Order: sequence, then C-alpha cells, then structure tokens
Amino acid sequence: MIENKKNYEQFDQDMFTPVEMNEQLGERIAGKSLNFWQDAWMRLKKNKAAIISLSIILILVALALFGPMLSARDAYEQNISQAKLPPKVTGLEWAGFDGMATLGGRDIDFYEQKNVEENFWFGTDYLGRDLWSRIWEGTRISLFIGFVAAIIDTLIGVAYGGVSAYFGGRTDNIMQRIVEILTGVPNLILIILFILIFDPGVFTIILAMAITGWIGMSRLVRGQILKLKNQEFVLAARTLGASSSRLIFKHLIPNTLGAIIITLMFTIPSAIFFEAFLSFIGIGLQPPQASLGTLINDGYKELRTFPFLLIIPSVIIVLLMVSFNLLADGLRDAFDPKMRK
Amino acid sequence: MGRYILQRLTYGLITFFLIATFTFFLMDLLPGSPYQNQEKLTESQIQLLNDRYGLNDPLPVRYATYIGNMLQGDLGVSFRTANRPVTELIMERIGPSAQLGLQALVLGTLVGVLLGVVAAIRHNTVIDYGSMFVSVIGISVPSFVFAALLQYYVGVKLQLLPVAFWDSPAHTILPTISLSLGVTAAIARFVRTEMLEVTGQDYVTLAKAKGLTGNAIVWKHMVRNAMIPAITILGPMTAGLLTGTFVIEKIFAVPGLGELFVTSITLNDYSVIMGTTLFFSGLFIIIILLVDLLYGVVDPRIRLGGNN
Repeated sequence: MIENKKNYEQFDQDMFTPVEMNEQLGERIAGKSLNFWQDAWMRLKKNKAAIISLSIILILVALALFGPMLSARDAYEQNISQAKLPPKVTGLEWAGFDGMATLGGRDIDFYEQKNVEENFWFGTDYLGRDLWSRIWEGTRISLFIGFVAAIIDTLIGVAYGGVSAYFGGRTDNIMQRIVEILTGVPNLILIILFILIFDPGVFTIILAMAITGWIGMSRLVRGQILKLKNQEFVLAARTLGASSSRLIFKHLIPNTLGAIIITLMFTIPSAIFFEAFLSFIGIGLQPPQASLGTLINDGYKELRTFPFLLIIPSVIIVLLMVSFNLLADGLRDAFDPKMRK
Repeated sequence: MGRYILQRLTYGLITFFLIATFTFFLMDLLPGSPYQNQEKLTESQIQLLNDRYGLNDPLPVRYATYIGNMLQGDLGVSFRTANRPVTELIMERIGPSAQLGLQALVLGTLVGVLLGVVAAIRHNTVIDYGSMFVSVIGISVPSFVFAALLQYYVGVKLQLLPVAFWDSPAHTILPTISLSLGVTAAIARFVRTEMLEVTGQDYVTLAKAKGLTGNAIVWKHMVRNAMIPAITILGPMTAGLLTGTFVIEKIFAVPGLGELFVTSITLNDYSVIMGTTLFFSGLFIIIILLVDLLYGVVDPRIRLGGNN
C-alpha cells in the first residue's frame, strides 16, 4: 500500500487530467452517419471486380455513343473495293492487328493486295463496311435493348407484384394464379412466335421479351412486400393516416429498391443475350441493322477465312455480359451484406 | 399432397391449353405462304391445296379441328417435307436431342459439382476465385459464341474432332461441351453457396467430432445436403438447355428438335412450328411440375400444400 503510494507520488500531478462524469459522452457516435446509398457505395467500392466491371461498362457505353465518330466512317456505307480487310492498327501489329489473313494456306497482306492506304482498326466486313463503326453501332443497339427491356420488366413487375402483395386476399390469389399459368410458358418459344408475326425490329424484340420477362421481378417484389407490410414502420405510417399509394411508393417500394436494382442488373445481360440469340438464329434484327447478335451471325458465316469478324463482336458481348454479371453480384453484396459469401 | 399434385396438374393443363390456343391464332396471323414456289401456282391450284389442308374453313372450324386432332396426338402434316406427319418428324428427332441434352446435363453436373465443392472447401483462396471466374465466364459467354469458337479452333484449326453432323460418339463431343457450359456454371455457383451454407450445420460438427476424415465429411455429409436445393434450379436449367439446343444443333448440324424448329421457322412450315412448340411446351410444363414434386419428396422438411 505504502509502496504503491510512493510509486504514485513520483509522477508529476500535471500529467493527469480527471475524467468528468458525463453520461452522454459514452453514447457519442464517432463515425459519420451514412444513409443506405452511401453505405452500399462504400461496400461496393471495396469490391474490386465490381468496380472494374463498372469501369468497363462505362467505357463500352462511351464507345457505343462516340466510337463511330473516332473512326469517322459510317457504319452503313458500303464500299466493295475495301471489302473483307482484316484489322490493322499501326503500332499493334504484334497483337494480330497487322492486316494479314490466311487464305489457302498462305498469309496475305490484304491492304497491299487491295491497294488500301488507310487503316481499318477492326477491319471491314463482306460489303466493305467499317467494322469499328458497326461494332459500336451494334453495341449501342444491344445496350439500348438491354436497358429498355430491363426497365419495362421492372415497371410491370414492380406494379404487379406490389399490388398483388399489398392488397392480398382474393386479389393476390387471382393475380398469383395468372402468374402460375404464365410461368409454365417457355418464354423463348413465345418470344420467337411473337417476333414471327410482327416485323422483326428493336421494339418487337423488346415487347416480346416483356411478355414474360416481368414475372421474376413481380415475384421478388411480392415476396419482399409481403415481408415488409406487417412491420411496425408500415403500421405507424398507416396509423398516421397514410394512403395506400403513399404507403406503397414512399415506404414499401423504397425498402425493396435494393433487391429491385439487383434483379434489374441481372436482367440487362439476359436481354442482351436474348437479342443476340434471336439475331443469331436469323429472326432478330434484319440487315443492314447492326447489333452484336447480327454481327456475330455475319461473322460466323465467314469464320474460316476471317475469324476476326466473329471474334471481335464476341469479345465485346462477353465483356458486356461478364461486367454486368459481376457488377450485379457486387451490388447484391453491397446492398445486402448478409447474403455475402 | 394428393390435392397439391392435382392442383398443379390442372394449372399445367390450363397453361398447355392456352399455349395451344395462342400458337394457333398466332400462326393464323403469320405472314408468308406455306407453299413452295407459290408464284408458279395458279389461283385454282392454290385453292385446291388450301382445300386439301383445310385452310379454307372458317377460323372457329379450323380451331376446333386443330384442338380435336391435337388431343388424339395428331399434329397435322408438314407443308414442306412431302406430307410427313408432324408427330413422326418430332419422334425421329427426339433421339439426338435427348442424347445431347442428357450428355450435357451429366457432364455439366459433374464438372459443376466438382468446381463448386473445391471452391467451397478452399473458400477465399486462389482456387475459389479461379473456379468462380470460370463460372462467371460460363454464365456470361453465350452458348453459340462458345460453340462457334470451339468449332473453329478444335474442329477446323486443330482438326481434333469432327466439325459437324451426328454420326459417331466423337461427333457428340463438341456439341455436348458447348451445351454443358451453362449447366456447369450454374451448378458450380449453386453448389458453392450451398456448401458454405451447410458448413456450420450441427451434423457437420458431429461428423467432425466422430473423427471422420475430411473427404468423408465433404462427400457423404455436406455434398448430399448441399445438392438438395439444386433441384430448384433444374427448372430454369431445362429452359436454358432448350435455348441452347436451338443454336447448338444449328451450328453443329445435329438432326434434333431444335434444328427442326429453327428450320421450320425459316421455311414458314406452320404445322411443324405449331407441333414443335406444343411439344416443347408440354415437356417444359411436365419438367417444372416434376421438379416441384421431387423437391417435396427429397427434402421432407418441405411440406407441399400442407397446413403449415
């Protein structure tokens, strides 16, 4: 005891400051308070794959919008004297962009043979159209189809699922029976039949995909809202006299927004895939319209001699699909960390 | 359970009937003529042909005939292939499609389970990331792109395997691999998630406490339980396989149902389009129904339609 006191006194009293008694101090929140979006963004930023994917998507979107301007060539202008030129980029000859292609077992410089002075970065197709311009034109159309189809699916799905879950009872029963019947329909066949009747075009494809596309979204929204609608905050809002539409649009839907966005992000690549698929079997967009699907289809026909015609659009579509899928995965983890594995 | 099956069967039948009706009226709206060389036919010849195929009857009569014949298993005759009955055309093409689909399913499941299990055991290591990368690629690469590239590099450039047609087992390898890519990816993802889910379960701890080896725990206890929910993705996977067969059979010239469907679309062969559509739809409905029922049988924790 005395030892201790001695030890204590050897320190300078000025080194200590007494702690004040303050109940509230313990409750002080040190970190900045983040809302749902900031929180999700913070988590998303840590996911390298998702951020790289987001950058790739942004770059591809930018190229889809401005790419054709870079080469300053029209995507539809035909020039037979410049047909079927392999890709050539000055400085990238080592990577295969050397304007050479194998024909009959011999490597031939097509630019020399056809007396073409300028370089085509991605080469040209069988009608001499610049593939660089066509690729970005096609990417733009594919992205457009993907985005619009996803948005339509979301609008119908959210409205249908929301109404079904919110009103419940007989309404829900009838609406769910309809969904049950529609789920049995193989959507691909329905899409194909639909396109056969109407003129194949961007909007026919989007509409065809919308017929059954919204079902997944409506199920998700219904499930979420059924879970939410009996929670206290909804009861509180109802007690305060909130109307049905206010409850749905201000309370229920914002709380399911995370799940909706994730599903939306998964819908985009699948819509892009469907368009490419339809164009590949020859009932999608019709020539001369360019989309990634029609370009792949055109390229497939020339595969033996000019593989670049297939490989370049394939690489773009794969990049798009991988990026969207990885970004959607990342968003799922960011919005709902419980689901992270 | 009995009531549930009955209810599901009823819905299946309603769906099928709706598809049949929908297909019929869509076909009626379809542009184009079903006859070859229509320009060379005279007006009266076309009339005769229309009479013969019953195309001059009023719509309701044709609809009634169509539904009546369908119920007797008669899907009409092809307009293009020398009066061959559609049912016969479908029957002779089921073989290659079924073989291709089953081979792809088996290959995809085996590789997928392996990838998924390995990824889960080596969670958050390079192996995990590698196998999940393969899986993302598998989901993202459209099957026809993959098939076209395989055909070019393996078939044309390296000349290791036949480029197309359906003659010997060797001919089936490339189409099977192309079709199985999506299955592999979906199963691998799914198994990995489920494996991580069951890792913390009591029976796994018990198995460890009993002193079982790592392999026995993984394959006897974890994989078996992780695979139960995999039945739920069988439905979407069947749809995926169907989509895949359309293009892959076209690319590799496989004489299957998908190829028949795609060809009949380009040829405006109405009766074949209708017939194959009905066949695919029926198949799809039955598989979805079976998957749901199977799920209840395999996992006793799920009681279908019961009072919970």
